[in-house]
Amino acid sequence: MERLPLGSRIVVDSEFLHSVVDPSNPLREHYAALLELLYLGRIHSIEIPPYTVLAFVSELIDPSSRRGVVVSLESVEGLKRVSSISERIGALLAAIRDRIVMQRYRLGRWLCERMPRHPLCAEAREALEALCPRISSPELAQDVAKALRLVEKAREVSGREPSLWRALIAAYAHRIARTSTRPVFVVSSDSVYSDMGVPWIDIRDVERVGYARLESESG
Amino acid sequence: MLRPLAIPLHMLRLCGSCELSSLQRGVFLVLYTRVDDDRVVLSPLSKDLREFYCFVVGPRGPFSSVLYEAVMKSLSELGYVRVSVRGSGVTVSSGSRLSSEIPELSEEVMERVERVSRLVRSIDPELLNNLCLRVLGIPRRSVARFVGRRVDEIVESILSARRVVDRVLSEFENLVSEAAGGKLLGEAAAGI
Repeated sequence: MERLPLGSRIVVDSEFLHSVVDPSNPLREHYAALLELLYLGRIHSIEIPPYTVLAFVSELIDPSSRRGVVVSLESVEGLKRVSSISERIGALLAAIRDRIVMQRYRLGRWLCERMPRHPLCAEAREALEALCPRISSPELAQDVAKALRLVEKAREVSGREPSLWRALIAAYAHRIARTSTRPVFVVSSDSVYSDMGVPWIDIRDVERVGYARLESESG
Repeated sequence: MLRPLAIPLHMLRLCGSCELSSLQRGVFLVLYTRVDDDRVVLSPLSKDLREFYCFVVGPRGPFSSVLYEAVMKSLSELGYVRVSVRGSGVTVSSGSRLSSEIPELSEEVMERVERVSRLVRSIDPELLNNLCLRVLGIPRRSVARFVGRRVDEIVESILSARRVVDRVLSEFENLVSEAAGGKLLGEAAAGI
């Protein structure tokens, strides 16, 4: 929290979705803390670009993934299951949007219904739409080109090679940061984003509001 | 009037003396938090006690003008506290009044007072300020944007955020485990 400036735009990767669907995920409490910050209005938005959703699906279906073999794309049954996963993700995003983002911006919604031209409506609408931003074809091409350069950059900096999904998420964050008036951060436990030169915050440093460790004060 | 003020009086009896700012943060911690081993957790006491103090966010941490006035005037005049001013710092200590005259507190509140008093004695005032701001989720560098806001309001919104987030996460767990597609995600999650 200390490192997250008020009003920041937060971009998350597939870790966020894994933590939400898996109650035993060790990062779950930290991502819950991020949702709390959104509800409290301390951060502007949590953005889940399409690359995040695609990465999540690919991690669930990829037989070589360390995250566990679930289905195979090679069978028709597998395809049905992929579609089912997409529906579930849709339900997840709707739940987050309705219960958390909408509650945060309920005043904005009320205002927009009655006075759609009020300047505050634009901000509320922007924050609501940020959850699942749309990406146009030129933007996609731009992100892919940038992601390839970022993979190279990370390799030079640390010798580590990020997955293409993470490079795309980093490229997305770079792109929106260029025009955003708010600070943009990728929040994840993977420091490879830092290797790619993206403002990055370790999710493990984000703790639920209403708690404070004594050791960090006395030490 | 004196009953709610038993909190700072007992605290001073246990601490001996402390800066007035540390007494402010200490009373805030008693009213709004409990100390669990290595962490301080938001856990407000009854509303009437909290309303008596009307804590707001000050430039350095939670501040109660009711407490300030009481220490500087009534409690000092009645001999419950001694106040000494050095430069911009105000130090408060137990007065000449017998400690047996201080109203008793419930066991729960007294336990909080004892734990917080130990903290006040052992932690530097500046770190105590940071601790209080951290419990309220206010970044130190952004405190100016919160100055003047009622602490009760902030605490209510934090508790509400906690309830909403926990409910959404558990609702989604149910959603995942109920449907056939959910079973698939459940299996995936189990394999992580």
